[in-house]
Amino acid sequence: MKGLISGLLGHPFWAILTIAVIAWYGTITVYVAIRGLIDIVRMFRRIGSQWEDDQSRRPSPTDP
Amino acid sequence: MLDGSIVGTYLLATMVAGILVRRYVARVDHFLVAGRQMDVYLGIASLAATEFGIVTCMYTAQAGYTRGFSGAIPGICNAIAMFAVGYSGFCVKRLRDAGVMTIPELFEKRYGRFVRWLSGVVIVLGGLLNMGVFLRVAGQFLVVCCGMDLRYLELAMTLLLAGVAIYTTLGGMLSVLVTDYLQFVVMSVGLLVISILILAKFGWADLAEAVHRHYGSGGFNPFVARGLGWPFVLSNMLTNTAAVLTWQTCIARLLAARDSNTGRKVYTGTASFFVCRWVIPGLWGIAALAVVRPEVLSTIASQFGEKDGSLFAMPYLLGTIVPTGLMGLLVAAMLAAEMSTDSSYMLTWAGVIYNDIILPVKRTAWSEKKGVLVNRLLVGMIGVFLLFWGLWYKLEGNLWEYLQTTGTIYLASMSVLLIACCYWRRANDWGAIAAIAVGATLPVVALSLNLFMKVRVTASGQVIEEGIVRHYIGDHFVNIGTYAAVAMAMVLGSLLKPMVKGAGR
Repeated sequence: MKGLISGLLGHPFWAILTIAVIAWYGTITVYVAIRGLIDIVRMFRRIGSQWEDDQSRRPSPTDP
Repeated sequence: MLDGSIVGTYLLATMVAGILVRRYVARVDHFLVAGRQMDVYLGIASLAATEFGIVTCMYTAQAGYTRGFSGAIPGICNAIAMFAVGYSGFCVKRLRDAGVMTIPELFEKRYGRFVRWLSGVVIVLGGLLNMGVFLRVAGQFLVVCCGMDLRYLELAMTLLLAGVAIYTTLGGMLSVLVTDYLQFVVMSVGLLVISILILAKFGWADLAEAVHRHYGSGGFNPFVARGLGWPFVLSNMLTNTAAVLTWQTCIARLLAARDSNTGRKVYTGTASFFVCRWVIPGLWGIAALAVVRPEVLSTIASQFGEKDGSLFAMPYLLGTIVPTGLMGLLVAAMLAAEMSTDSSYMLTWAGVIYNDIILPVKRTAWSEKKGVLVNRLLVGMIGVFLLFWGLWYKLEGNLWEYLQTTGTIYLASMSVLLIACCYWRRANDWGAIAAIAVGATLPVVALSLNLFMKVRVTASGQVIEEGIVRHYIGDHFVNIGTYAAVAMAMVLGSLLKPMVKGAGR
């Protein structure tokens, strides 16, 4: 704690930036990870339905 | 045993996930831009993972070791540029709205087919030279940090690259996004845990004191640091703005996004991670500065045949302080970082070779199936190149400056071409060709002169050889000069071309 206080007084910009970076990785990363997983599921659902649309549009061999 | 299990589980999970998505790849746009279906948070995770490789960790830690906190300035420049471009939509909105798969494809609409092809060539040249050192540096990290036997270095890196190449060639951007996501999670946990360990072990006050002892106030303020100053800050601001606008791995996320708004949000959301990627390893490098003796680093450098030992300070420190169990997590995190970087670099540069070097000179169109096959072959070929270049190229001087100089081969010209393409009606092919020629020539000449013409200088009581351009002009001025010359070439070239009546948009 003593080191942190002296750091904040001596070099406040770098001390605050270091704390912010560590806090960022400890919190926002978790949020991005959860929302990213949802994005993956949605992305493959959309690509899957795109793929099915492509298949249904393709003319069948029996079509004139 | 525990460490090995952690690493093995991670590698297996990545390979399985990467290979499983291959069945979704039916078209070239699935392979190169994930069918343009990427959303914001997946984009942030993917971009943050891609832009943090072992090589990143090594050069940012080297910057912390050799420049103190001032070494993290490029990360701050990068974050400012990323946020500003994402927030304003400067160039990137028009680029994404154009519906292209690569930047040179957009250039064809304004500058013609030859400029598209030429742009593809310089992008590939600059990118391959840049990524050529990745594998070697990653291998050096593993040897120094985990004590891996040097004899197995080439084999280990070959196997790692082969694994990455397998899932990238099969699933393209879809595999890259999914594996990037996994790698983002593993990498973030590793970075956080190791940073807390270092702060707990050394304490902020000791780290700040070490920087002050070695570099004085220049270790905290780049404007007063010896060898840095305003040219360093300006040079990094230019490089990072250009990289945000045109670096293939960034642009690939923008172009894979669902629309331009999603792409812009990915940019603003990732900006802060660019500060993290410099500050966190920089802190590790500063910890190494506090405790690692320079003689130890010279011995390690000579073991690899390198001249500069500062690159090895951080991995050496981690090798001595990280306990069993955490070492497994660290190696998994670093492998995650490396794999996400390698896969994305291989894919995005293969995309440029296919889309802008091969397609413009082909007379007949390829089917989607053949297009995907050609892309897969190109990814494999880049992997082979990485392996051979990475094994024999010996690095001299600061790694970040090497990456900056090789990147400038295309960053300077492509960023100027892109800005002019979007916002200057008078820009034309004469200006574009002149800008590309100047942008590629200056950094290559500087690199070659540094490699073949040396001067002897005395530093810290030792006589060392330094490249002639680095000694007399300096890397930062070469970089700034290249951007200025490229902009001038674009303006002069465009103005020299006679206006055709009725032409223009």
